[in-house]
Amino acid sequence: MKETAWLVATLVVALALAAAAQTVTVTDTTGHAVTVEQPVERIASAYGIGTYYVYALGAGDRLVAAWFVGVKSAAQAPASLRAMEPRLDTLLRAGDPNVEDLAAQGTDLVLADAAQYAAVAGPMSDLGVPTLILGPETAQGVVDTALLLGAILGEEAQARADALAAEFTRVYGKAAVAATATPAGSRPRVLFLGTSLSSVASGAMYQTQLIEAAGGVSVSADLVGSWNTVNLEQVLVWSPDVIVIAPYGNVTVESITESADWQSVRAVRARRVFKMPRVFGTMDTPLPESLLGVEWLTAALYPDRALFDVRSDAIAFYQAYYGYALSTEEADAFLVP
Amino acid sequence: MTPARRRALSIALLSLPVALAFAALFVGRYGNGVGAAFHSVFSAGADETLRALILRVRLPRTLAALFVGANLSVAGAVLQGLFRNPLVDSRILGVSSGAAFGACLAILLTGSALAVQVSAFAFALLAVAVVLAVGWRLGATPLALLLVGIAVSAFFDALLGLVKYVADPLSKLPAITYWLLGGLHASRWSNLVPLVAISGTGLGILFLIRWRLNVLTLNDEEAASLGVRVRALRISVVVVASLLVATSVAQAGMIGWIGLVIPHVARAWVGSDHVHLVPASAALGGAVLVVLDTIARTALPGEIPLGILTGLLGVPAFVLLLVGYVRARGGTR
Amino acid sequence: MKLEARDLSYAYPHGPPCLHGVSLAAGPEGVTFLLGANGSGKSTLLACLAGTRTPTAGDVRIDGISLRSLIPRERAKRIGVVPQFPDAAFAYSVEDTVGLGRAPYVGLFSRPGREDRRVVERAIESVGLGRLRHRSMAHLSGGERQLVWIARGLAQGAGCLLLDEPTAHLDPCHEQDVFAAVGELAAGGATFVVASHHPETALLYGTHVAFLRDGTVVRSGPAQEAITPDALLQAYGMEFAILTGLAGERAVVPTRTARQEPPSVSA
Repeated sequence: MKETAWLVATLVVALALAAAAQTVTVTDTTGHAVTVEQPVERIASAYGIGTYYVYALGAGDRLVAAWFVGVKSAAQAPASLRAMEPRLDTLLRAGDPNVEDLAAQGTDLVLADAAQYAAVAGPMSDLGVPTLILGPETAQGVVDTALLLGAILGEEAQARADALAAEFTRVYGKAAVAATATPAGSRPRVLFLGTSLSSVASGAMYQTQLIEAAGGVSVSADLVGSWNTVNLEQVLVWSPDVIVIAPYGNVTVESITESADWQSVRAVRARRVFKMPRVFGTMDTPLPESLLGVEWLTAALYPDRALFDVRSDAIAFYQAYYGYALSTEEADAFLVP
Repeated sequence: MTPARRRALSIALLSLPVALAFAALFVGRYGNGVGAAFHSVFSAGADETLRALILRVRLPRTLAALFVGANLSVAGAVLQGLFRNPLVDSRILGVSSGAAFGACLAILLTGSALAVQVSAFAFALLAVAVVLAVGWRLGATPLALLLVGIAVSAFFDALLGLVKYVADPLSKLPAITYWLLGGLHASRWSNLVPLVAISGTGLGILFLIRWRLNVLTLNDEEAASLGVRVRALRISVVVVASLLVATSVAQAGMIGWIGLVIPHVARAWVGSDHVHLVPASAALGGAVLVVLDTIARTALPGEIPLGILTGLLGVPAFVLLLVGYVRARGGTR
Repeated sequence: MKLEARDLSYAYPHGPPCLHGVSLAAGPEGVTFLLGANGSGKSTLLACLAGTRTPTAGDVRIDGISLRSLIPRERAKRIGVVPQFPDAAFAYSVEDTVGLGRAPYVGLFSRPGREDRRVVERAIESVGLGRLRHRSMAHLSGGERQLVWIARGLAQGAGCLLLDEPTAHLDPCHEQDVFAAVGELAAGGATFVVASHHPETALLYGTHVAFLRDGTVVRSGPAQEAITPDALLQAYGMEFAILTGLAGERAVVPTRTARQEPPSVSA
């Protein structure tokens, strides 16, 4: 009896070891080949944007340390984020990654962007932990990042990544068809404002891509860099048809529509000033939920077309990918007035 | 210089900023040129948007440029005399660093434009208070004030570094960086009142006592032998000059080189006598900043930060001045 | 004007005593020389006489009025000072520099008026610099600059002028110019007190002298009588001979013997 028990135990151990010896090799966004041992149990996401992908792919419970874009302290976290992630206080990190902290958490995979990579990859690889560089900048990049993570985070993650890719294809395809139906000259001209009344997005930014995907034209497309400061005079020169305000920051629709100075702007006279909704991730950043950003923008730019049922799609999206049920208020925010 | 020539020069200098400010109202990216702009203001029924733009946006901004330029230049001029050092800038007493920290702290914690202005001004006053309190105990000599000013500057610079470190790179840090580069695009009639009130008072006081400021350029013993209460006068000048700088920084962010270069140009034209130097610095400073601000808001679609323009123009101007200075004196002293 | 020091003592804050019981009278009229080695307290005494330093004991009186009872402005209207190292960071014109002398008369919010300008004009003329009134100070010779500062003192309306080593950096020619002007003004009623460490100038241009050593007055009196080899030995610790030239001009010349004791330094 004892010998049989020992034999079974040895077999089980051997099988376990064999399973543990499984690895997946992927190529990250910089072309590095990274070998990741399976399964990945303890993820440290030092890339504030990448963290949301981990949640969307259903691996959020495997995070041990996470940076969240736009949330530098627990006090800054929106209530919805807290509801989605009850462990927020223990998970939340900010500033430069502390290698000892990550090691203490027993991390077996680190996600980083190009800025953090240099600091973190070297020491972590000395400890035998791989670092994956991410940095989506386009819609294709969003899909590729999801698929990349899906490949290393297990079957369920893979399935979700595939589903997300299919969603992107559907939404972008539908929007593109509708956009090409409008000649270039009559597409709505859009001004995308950031965190102040004088801060506008440049042509190189993701926001401009979203506008174009939704069938609009960004008035500030020829500006370079990131956020630019312009004065009211320039806004008048551009004469946008629609003004969209970023989902973060203090600028409200009222601060524009009720400002005497802005009354001369066409978009304000036509009452087409909108603020992007936000649940936790921001839809104008290269996150999975930027998909909803395109849907919402098409509704804002082409209110008569009703291409998408944004509200229902939002509820379904957050439930499917984040396991989060939108409240009525949050869902209504996706309706364009 | 004969009195007649001096009078002509004074009139020219004092009308320069007024003329330039007037012209600036009709220059901008919007509209079909200067003629149309002129038309819109002075004839009825013309382009309403343009008129609103000129009266509500360009006019307060141009006024702000006039005052900020005058403030920084006069503050620089009187501080140069007070410290008996032609290399002094209006930033020397830590006022600017305090204001910068206050403004960026407000950007970090709130984001309300009013809070930024108030906070900038409050911390600027705090900086001055510290400099005067500690400097007084050290005898309130120019050297004492200078050293404490350097220390206070460094302290607030460090605090500013901390603010930048904790700021959210998405929403706060760009705003902070942009504010630090200086600009007048936020100037509206509503927020102009403190600037005008403080500038008017401060410039007025310095204008009235401008002859006595000449006595401050003598060393302490000489000035005392002329019966002037040096410490009291010096402290008053420091307070007024600091107020001018504080309100300017609160309005326009960090603008350097104006306080250093403009007084030198003014000195080259009207001499070192503060009776002529103070008004000339004010006029020249206002004129230059109006021109630079007009460039800042017109040359490119995006706003060019004023601090960049003053630096790009100020540094070569300073070098040229220095070369001229040295040549006129026949070599460095 | 008569300037008197009575039993003056001065010690630097947290420092050793500098002057001990100095009593001195200068004026009315005349040029009183303060002579002594470096560190004997001449500049400090001058500062106390000017009222820019407050003596720790004793009193200074101008025409009988104690300096302590005068506010700075009133004191400035009586006593003018030409310091040892006037520095000028900025180049003012002669007119503007002399014009600063009107500070005691000009209100805080005012500028010099027509009367002030007349006084300035007269002061510049009285030192013979009328033709240079618009010249920048940077373009004057050392001697001319000294005259400008003397004129500033006159513009103050001061009856008593204190000069701290005015000709230390001047060549004999300019020195003569300065003291010629000083002599003329003294003859016209002004009182001068000149600190110098060159006894020969005192002999040539002074009416009275006071010798200082280690912060006390060791000898004083009319210049021609009080300047003796003995007094010089006491003040400088060195031997001098007083020579008379063929035309009656007198000179002070150090003899070649070694010094008897080194002059002490009071910090």
